[in-house]
Amino acid sequence: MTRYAITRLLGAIPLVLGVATVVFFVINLAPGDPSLHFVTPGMSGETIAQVRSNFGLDAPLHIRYLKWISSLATGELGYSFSHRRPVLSVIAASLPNTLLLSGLALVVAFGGGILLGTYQALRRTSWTDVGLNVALVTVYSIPAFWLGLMLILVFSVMARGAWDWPVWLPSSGMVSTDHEALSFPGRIGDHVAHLVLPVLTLAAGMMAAVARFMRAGVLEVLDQEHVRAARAKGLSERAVVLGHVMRNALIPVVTLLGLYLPVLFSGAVLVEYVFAWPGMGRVLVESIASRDYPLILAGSILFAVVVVIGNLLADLLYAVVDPRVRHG
Amino acid sequence: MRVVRVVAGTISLVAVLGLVACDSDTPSESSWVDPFCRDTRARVDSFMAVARDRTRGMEDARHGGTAVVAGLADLPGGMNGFIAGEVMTVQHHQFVNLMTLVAFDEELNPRPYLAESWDVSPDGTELTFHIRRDVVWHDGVPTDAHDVAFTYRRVTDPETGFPNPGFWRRYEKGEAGMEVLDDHTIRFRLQPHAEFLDPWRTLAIMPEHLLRDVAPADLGRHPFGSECPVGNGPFVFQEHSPLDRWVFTANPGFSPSLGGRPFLDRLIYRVVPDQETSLAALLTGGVDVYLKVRPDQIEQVSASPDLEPVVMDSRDFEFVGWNSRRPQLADPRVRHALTLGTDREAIVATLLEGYGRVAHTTVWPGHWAYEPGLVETPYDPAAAALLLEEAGWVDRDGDGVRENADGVRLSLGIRYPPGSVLRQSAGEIIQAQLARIGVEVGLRPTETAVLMEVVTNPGSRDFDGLMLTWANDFRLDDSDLLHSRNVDGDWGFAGIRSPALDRYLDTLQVVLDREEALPLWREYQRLQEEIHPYMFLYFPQRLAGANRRLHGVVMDARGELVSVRDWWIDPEMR
Amino acid sequence: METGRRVLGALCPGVHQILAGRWAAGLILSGSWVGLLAVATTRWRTFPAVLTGGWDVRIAVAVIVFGPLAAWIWSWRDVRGSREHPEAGSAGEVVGRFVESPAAVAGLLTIIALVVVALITPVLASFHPAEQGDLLAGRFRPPSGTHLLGTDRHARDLLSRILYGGRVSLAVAFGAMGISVGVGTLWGAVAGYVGGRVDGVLMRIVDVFIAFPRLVLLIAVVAMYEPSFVLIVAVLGLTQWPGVARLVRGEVLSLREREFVLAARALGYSRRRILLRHVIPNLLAPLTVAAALGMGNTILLESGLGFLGLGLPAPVPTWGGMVADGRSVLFTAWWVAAFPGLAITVSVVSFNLVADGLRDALDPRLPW
Repeated sequence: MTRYAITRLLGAIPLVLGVATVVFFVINLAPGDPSLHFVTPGMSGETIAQVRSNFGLDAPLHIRYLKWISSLATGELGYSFSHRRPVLSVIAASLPNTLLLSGLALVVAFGGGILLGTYQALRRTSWTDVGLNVALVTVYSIPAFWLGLMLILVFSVMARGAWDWPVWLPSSGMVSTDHEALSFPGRIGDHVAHLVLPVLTLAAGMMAAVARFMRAGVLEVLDQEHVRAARAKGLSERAVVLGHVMRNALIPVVTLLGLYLPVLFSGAVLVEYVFAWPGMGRVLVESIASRDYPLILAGSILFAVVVVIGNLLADLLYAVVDPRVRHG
Repeated sequence: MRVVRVVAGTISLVAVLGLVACDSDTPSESSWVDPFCRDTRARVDSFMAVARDRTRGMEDARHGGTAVVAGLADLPGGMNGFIAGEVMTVQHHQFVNLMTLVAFDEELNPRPYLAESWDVSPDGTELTFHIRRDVVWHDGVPTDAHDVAFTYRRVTDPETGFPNPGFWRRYEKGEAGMEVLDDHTIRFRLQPHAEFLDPWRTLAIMPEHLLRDVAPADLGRHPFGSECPVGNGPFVFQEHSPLDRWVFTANPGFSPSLGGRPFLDRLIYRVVPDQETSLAALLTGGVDVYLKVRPDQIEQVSASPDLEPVVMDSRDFEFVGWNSRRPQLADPRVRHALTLGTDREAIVATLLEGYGRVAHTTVWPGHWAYEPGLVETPYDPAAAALLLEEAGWVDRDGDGVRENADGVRLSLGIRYPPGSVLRQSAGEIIQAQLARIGVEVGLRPTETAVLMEVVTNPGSRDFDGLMLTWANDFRLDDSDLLHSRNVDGDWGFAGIRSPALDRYLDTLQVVLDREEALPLWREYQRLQEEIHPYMFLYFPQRLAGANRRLHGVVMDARGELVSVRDWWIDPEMR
Repeated sequence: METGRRVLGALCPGVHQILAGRWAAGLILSGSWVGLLAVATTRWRTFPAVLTGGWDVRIAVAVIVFGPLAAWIWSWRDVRGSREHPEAGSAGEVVGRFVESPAAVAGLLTIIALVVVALITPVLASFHPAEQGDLLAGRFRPPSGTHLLGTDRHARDLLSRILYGGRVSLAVAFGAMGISVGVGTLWGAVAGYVGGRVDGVLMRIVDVFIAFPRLVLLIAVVAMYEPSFVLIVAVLGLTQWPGVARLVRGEVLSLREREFVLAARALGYSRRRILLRHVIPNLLAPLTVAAALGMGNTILLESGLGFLGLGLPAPVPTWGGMVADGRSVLFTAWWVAAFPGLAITVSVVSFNLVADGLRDALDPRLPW
């Protein structure tokens, strides 16, 4: 299996390079360039030309491409124009925040989705099932930016102002401004409070999808021989559901995990935007606005790598949960 | 249950990675730190430890606490005075981390800062600064005339790419333009002109001992600016995490003659990229100061007993610049009619909630030559229609849009940078109102980088109108915009050629005496009205909100951070 | 009794079908008939605009006039025809299963309503979407008789803007789906049917496209070039086709080995003919599901772009742009952001419900 994974990863290198190359030409051929972002009133044409040459943007396109590819080969991601620091350090500062947000959203979505889906399947065709179905489709369909706004409105602003609830949630950022002054448990609580709304917003749609998969999986398994056999043996319903039904129904759901990695990465963009979360998605969007070529390229490469890893993870997990599949 | 464990294991691994990475409060990127930064940071830390020991026990009740300022964007270029031009960034140079030679008082008259005093030769061609002797860089090295000389050498070198080369238009550039008389005295050579001290108000002096060996072209990408700045101002750089925050701590060794150590222990500039979130954070006490309050938000700030709304005049004006090279816009009567047909008072009343003034010329309300009511174009759609007919624009085919005799439709595209609700709304109002006088307006939000190309490249002036904000300097010089020698220059987008206008633009810059200059300024403003290069929209007022636990806050035309050294927090509310 | 029912059915389309237990057809018929007639009676004054107005007004009036007529004719033929209305074959079964789900039928009804409303908007809307009232006195008015959903910051009627915004959203979504389904189907069908090296190359290209950060790519393209209807449709369509291509290729691979294709091949038909006549028609079912899901996703993405300020430029109203616009006045004028957001949610939900019902109907065992 390790060998299979390594082969797959090596095979993905041209794919990642392909993505990076296409992005390189798309952004370089688009009108505008990063130096124009530093133009201020009164700046002369010579100064602008000078800034451009300081950034190495005066060389012809193919030369710049070769330069970039060869420095990429040495693991050099380049220098971010807009942040005025190495791309790697910008990513190092923002990627963990996105991972935290997405990771927790993943936990919530899969945990909630698996429970909901199973519950739904066990009450198949009842009104609860139909109602939950519609509710889940609705949740799946609400635009994340809108959901985020509504959550802020209710749990942050109205809860504190108009309704005067004892507890309200922060609406932006990762930590309070007095974070460093807090005790250790206080800090953890502070982190958690800041995570609640963005994680819920990000997890909602995904949870609905997981629940649907889980429901279908459970329905399918419920009809199978071994479940009936287990029931016939006189096992408790709880044992049947946990030990036989859920276990097998999880197989298709598990593959979703890999497929959702990239979605989390890009889906976080709008959520990070609404909640002012200092993550990779926001960095990437802002890098587009400022034409920060090296940062856009690094972000795209990162995303492509996440897709590759996600797909690989899906296949590997599938092999782990379904003994019939073997990667030799 | 193997399956469940695998899933749970993977998920918790992801989560733990995230938590570990984000909970380390020391900069987590220590492994990427540049050797330059590792050295300088170590020296700053040890010098500050000593300085702190020396001043311990000298604090009073006002000392202590952390103030958090919320801004919309990171500070581009950081504390690197050679490359930064953005307003908030420059304010951090001026008032927080670095020092300028000259500061301005409330009446906008120059007063000493890093320069203790200065002399001007009688003929106005020599300017001598005497540098204060008690200012040291945050790593312990004294600041002296050599730093000033180094800074001047670099900012006048085109290789550096200094964003405001216009500062030095009447200064002699480079080595020839200056002379270090002794360690604390430096002399500059210049042509006599009005407001000659202006560049020294915003230009931060940079440390020669750290940056001497960096090639001018590499200064822009040096880690100094955003990873390990070393300043000499009241606050010491502590930490910067990109797109998130800048943390500064009090400089215990700040010159006592300038007030000594600031009251705050720490000043945090926090990036909150969204105005709704910023307001919420201000209301909930998450931040102490929110810098870019929108006019429709100020009411909520006023309503809160904990908050103080701040209103400042600004030098910026919003305008639609017309491209007089276009056949529709070549006639000043048409440009005049467009202004007559736009209810700018309504724009100010609704979009700015009254926090602003309708602009009629480039002269801003705080400028000494500003006179309300001197020239004024009212809202008069009927007059606009008459003027258009007089100029030959009549709706000949009944489609609601006027044409001239050649059949050219009076259809104009206005381009503007996207992202501002205010500008978008102003555009929609102009569009709807001009439609009523038979002018079709298309709104074309154009991404900043592209728009800059359109504006500055004389070869690609593909626009009818440009809706922009122009940031005036204290010294008002419209030559870049309106002088006919700059028509094909970077900012001559309006394409106006008027010898009369040129004469005023040239004289206004060299007449030093205000009494003598005032009639000229009046004539100049009347001429602007006549030529009508732009549709001036308004001078917005800058709005901010501050928590009342913060005392000593002064915000005015000089900037929001002008009094940051004197901010102090109610000890009860820290 | 029987005759009465027939007469009533012929006069009021839908009644017969509902009484016969065919809820879906009955509701669609009666709903469109009653709704359109109601519009016609209240807003007939706008009809003369047909003579002067553009094509959109003519289409709107035509829909209002011929819609009820069509409902009558259909219903009348239905009543006269066989009582049992046999629906033979697998298509009938699928329809039967589909209409069993109340959620799916509700979704379908909503979509039909959305499309009809989009078509008759020029007649239905009381105001022009860009028409500004009194800027000072008329802005941010709460919902009232004149402005059913209130007004926005420029004193524009919110309901009219939502109606016109719906046309934009639907047009963008249909256009983008057309592109992505068209390109994706051809691409996937060729890859799956031809196989071999062609398949390898085509699918590697699909891999590259799927590995793109979609939202980021969208933002990049829209930000760097000026947003226009064509650009937004093209970009939304061209970022969605790889998924369709993958789906189609999988289906084609299994269809290729099915008997009727083997038979066609044995008869010596050309590859092209087999692909166009035998393979692609059999893809209709999975493609419909993918298209319905894609419609929902496209509306979401388009509104996301609008929310970021990268949608179609003013004066065209877009739902996402309206939410962004109302965001700043959420506490003082909640209706400005609330109703467009609701419109987005309702339309996406209905497309997803239909996709859901269709999939259940096609293969009850498929999950999502």
